[in-house]
Amino acid sequence: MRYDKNGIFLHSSCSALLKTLFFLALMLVGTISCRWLPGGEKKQPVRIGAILSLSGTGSHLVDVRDAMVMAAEEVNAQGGIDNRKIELIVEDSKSSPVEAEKIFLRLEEQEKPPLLYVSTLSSVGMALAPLAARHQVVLMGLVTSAPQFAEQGKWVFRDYTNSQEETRVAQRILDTLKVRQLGIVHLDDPYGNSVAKLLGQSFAATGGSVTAVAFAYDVTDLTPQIETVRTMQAVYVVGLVGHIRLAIRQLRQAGYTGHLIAASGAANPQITEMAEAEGVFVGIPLVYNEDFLFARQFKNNYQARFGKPFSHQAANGYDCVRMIAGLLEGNEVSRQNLQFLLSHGFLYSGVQGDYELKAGSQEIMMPLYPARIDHGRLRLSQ
Amino acid sequence: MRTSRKIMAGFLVTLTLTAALAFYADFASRRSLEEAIGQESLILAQETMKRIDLAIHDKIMYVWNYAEQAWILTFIAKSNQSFAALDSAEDFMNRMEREWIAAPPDTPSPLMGELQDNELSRRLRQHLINFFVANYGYSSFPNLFVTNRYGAVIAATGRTSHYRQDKESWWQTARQQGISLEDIAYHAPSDSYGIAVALRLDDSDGNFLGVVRAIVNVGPIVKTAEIATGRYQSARIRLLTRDGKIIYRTRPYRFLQDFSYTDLLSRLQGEKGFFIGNEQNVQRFYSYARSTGKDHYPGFGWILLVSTDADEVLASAEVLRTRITVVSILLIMAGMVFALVLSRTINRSLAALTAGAARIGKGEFDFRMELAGNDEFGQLAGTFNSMVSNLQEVTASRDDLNAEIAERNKAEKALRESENRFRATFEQAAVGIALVSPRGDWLRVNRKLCDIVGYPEDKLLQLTFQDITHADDLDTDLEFHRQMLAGEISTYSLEKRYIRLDGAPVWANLTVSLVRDEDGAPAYFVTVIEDIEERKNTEQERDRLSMELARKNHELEQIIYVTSHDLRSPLVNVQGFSKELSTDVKRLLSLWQNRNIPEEIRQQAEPLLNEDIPESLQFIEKGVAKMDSLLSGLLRLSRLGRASPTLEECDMNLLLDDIVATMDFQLKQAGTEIRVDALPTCLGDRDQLNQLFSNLLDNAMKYLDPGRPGRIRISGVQDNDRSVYCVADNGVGIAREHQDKIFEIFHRLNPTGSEGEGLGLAIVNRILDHLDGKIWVESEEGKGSKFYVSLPGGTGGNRA
Repeated sequence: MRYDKNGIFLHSSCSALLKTLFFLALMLVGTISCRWLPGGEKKQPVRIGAILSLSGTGSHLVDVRDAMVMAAEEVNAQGGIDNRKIELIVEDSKSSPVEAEKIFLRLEEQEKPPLLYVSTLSSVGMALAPLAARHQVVLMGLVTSAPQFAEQGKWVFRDYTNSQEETRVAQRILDTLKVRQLGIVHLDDPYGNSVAKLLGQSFAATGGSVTAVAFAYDVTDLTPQIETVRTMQAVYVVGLVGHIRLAIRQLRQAGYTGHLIAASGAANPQITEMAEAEGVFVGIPLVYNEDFLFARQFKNNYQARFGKPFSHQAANGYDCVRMIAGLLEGNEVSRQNLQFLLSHGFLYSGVQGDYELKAGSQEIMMPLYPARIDHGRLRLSQ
Repeated sequence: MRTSRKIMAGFLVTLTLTAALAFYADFASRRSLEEAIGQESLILAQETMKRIDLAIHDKIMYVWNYAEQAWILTFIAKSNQSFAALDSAEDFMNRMEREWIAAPPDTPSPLMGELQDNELSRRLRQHLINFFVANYGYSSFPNLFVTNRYGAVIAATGRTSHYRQDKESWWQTARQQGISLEDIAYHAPSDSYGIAVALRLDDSDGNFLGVVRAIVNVGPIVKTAEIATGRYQSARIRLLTRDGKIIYRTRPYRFLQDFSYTDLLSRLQGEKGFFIGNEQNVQRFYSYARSTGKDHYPGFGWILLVSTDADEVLASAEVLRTRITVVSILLIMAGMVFALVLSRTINRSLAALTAGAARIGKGEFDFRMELAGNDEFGQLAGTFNSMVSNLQEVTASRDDLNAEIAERNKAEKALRESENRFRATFEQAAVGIALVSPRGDWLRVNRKLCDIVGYPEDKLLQLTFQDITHADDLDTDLEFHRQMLAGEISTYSLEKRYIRLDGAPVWANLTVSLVRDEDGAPAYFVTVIEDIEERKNTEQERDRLSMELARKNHELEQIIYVTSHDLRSPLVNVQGFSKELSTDVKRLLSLWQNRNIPEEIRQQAEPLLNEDIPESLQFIEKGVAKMDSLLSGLLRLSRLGRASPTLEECDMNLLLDDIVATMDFQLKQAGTEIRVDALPTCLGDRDQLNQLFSNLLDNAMKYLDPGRPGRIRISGVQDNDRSVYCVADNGVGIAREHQDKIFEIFHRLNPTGSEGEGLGLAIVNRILDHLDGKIWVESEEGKGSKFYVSLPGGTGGNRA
């Protein structure tokens, strides 16, 4: 028993009982802390290389990045993919295939390269497809409509609508409108040419006449093309959002009074909010259906988060991340296994509607539905 | 156990129990929460399943109600009538069937195209498909077609596999039972998944008109129902067939993918239930409900499995738990700190009280507790201080009492010891001790006194000292006695005689002191009586012997004087006759020379005359001279005994100068150096001092070492009232064994080698006896001697 100079009991000389109690208390506190305090096994994150068009001609696709970030945050907030966080590595391709390739190769040289890549724009996707095949990594093409994209081998998947679906919904609109003469103004790229070809064949099969005219990627004046089709009962425009905007504006300026039908890109707010877009028919994904509660929830969250209207391109990115997360949940996280899971096909109900990837297919099909721009809003048509 | 430990232990136990209680509360609340969540989740699953059942049922009824519209029934009735009008409806249907089947997949047959585009088909498409897609984003009927009573398709929203359906079991069942429902399956013609429902249509009279068949897509239905479960972001919906095939799933799935291989399916027992399971190491809540159908819709035993991430579901509980944990840890830590501080505070107070009590226990009653505050310790300290004050007073009284008692005990002890010592001293003293009253009564006497005076104690105590005091000494004694009582003297000693009981006187040395009482009045005399009878006798004998010795000495001196004086006459005669005889011999020898004396006689007589007789005469003369010297010495010695010295202060410097001058010839002849320092004066007889120092110098001369030049030094110092002189020489010195004998009469160091009769130092010694002087010698053989002479000092100091 020892006391200090003031006669105070020195605790270093606690009895064995006291020490035991103290030790037990510490152990209990430690046990409770370990049990109660947040923690747990930390796993390697699922890295998604997002080579997106954040600038350049595809800069309007910046929404894809925002929605992907939002989806990743939501998944991570829910515990990630089996306790693996999603780590988005967002890179700006500047809408340039060359730049995209450089980014891809740089990311591949990292110690921990991404599990998969996501790209936007057909041209970028097409440039990356051979690299994905070479490096045996899944490449998801968002807002990538080029028909050839889904033909780049087993590692390349399109997660968007395609020219067939564009054609299907356009034909359905044309049927409803009982159009017999159709003018097609299309981008002279694989995607535009594909849609124009399929729609022409489909429409022609119903007995109608078709006049197709192409325009260049960097077109600034569509007057010649419009002059070609302005006498048609209906005009179908397929291209990028900017192209569609230009076409609609110039058609209206030219006094065209027939039915205007546009590819799904026209569902973008940049077009729907145009006064000249009033009455334009467009094939849209289900996310624009305001009665679809699931989609509405996403839209509200997106608009609250970023303070801007959502787009189906954004929904495409959102669904892509959620879909990949769901696909990997409970499964081995590896490049090979992801490709294996994709190759077996699946159904997935996203904000865009029911995606379907048939076994052996490279097309994760986003269904489109006929709609009409009505006072800046998209209304599904009967 | 120390209080501080008890406090710490108490706090630790309490905190431990609190933590354990919190742990148990968390465990129990988690269990309760899990149960509640499970029940809620189960209700959710049941409600969702019911909603799905109801939605499917409603879809069925919607189709049924829609199909029973009059115009549709009329449309079907017309078809039946037209078929009835045919020669052979059977042949027509077979033909159409072949045509129907033969049509390429992508290109409908003309009949098929016609049927899909007739009024009924368009209305079905518009009202049951497009309307829903436009308004809800989806349609629950991917494909519908109607048959007449013959089983032939009369309207279709899409492709059908066959034209005539009358052979199909579902058609038969619908016709017979009114409704046919097939479990979910993939329907290739419409490329859709769903329940195939076939409904019998009758006219108003109940006659069978036909059958409407629709594929009910349950995906959108479940999707819609799933939204209701959206309260948890991690909620997962699985709709399974009875045998575990996936109908719908929140995450990507393959239609009718087999789910039965999982462990989960085995846990889906009964109509409903909930449990907590792990899926890919993630803990999830599972609730399930089996479809019970509604009315016509049987439900097919589908299982709706709703799972939610436990972490999300229990997020609020986890937050609460985290807060409780943090608060608990903080409380425990704060409790520990508080317990520590409290224990230290209490311990400090206790330690201060303990230390204070210890100090007070050691007798520091001036110590006061200094504990601030009005708590129990402060009050206890105050009470303690009050108690100490009282204790201090009591202790002071006690100490005084104890001191007094101790003092008394000490005094008593001292008294007892004193009494004992006194008694022992009194009783065992070698002298007689008595306490005598002022009147002279013997109050107390010891045994020695009784022995001295020869009285028994009891008899002596009846007497006074006057009774036994010798009459010749009584007056003296009484005078002293009176003086003491008068306070003139405090003590006195007296040699007096007591008369013993046997009548004999006894000498005693009496020492008396008076003890007075507190008032100063004489209490008693303390008388110490020493028996000096023997001493007195010895003194008397000594005096007698001294007188006898003096008389003898005187007689001896007289004898010596007389003898010396009387012997000088015959000695002179001997000396004279020997000289006469010598002259005669010389004359005879001269005569002999001139006579013819026979040679024989000559030869015999001449040696006698020339050698033997002169030699004998020479010996006689020497003996006479020696005898004369001896007698002279004895005469001087005897005169010293008879002559009284004349004491006067003598200037020893002059005295020694005279002596040295007298001996100057001898000193020079012997080559002896003499030095006389300044000498103090002394009190003595000048002649005798002259004799004394002459003898000492003469003695020094006699015993100089012939091997070295003689040096003699005479010095002197004043030592208090004495003058001490030293005669030092560098002579042969005196052996230690002779140093005590040299002052004896007739003692000679070298009887054959030196002159003298051995009286010099004896005379010196005898002179000093007369002059109250002393002499001693320090000598080292071979180096010299120092004779010291101490004499009563004079008034003068050393000569300058």
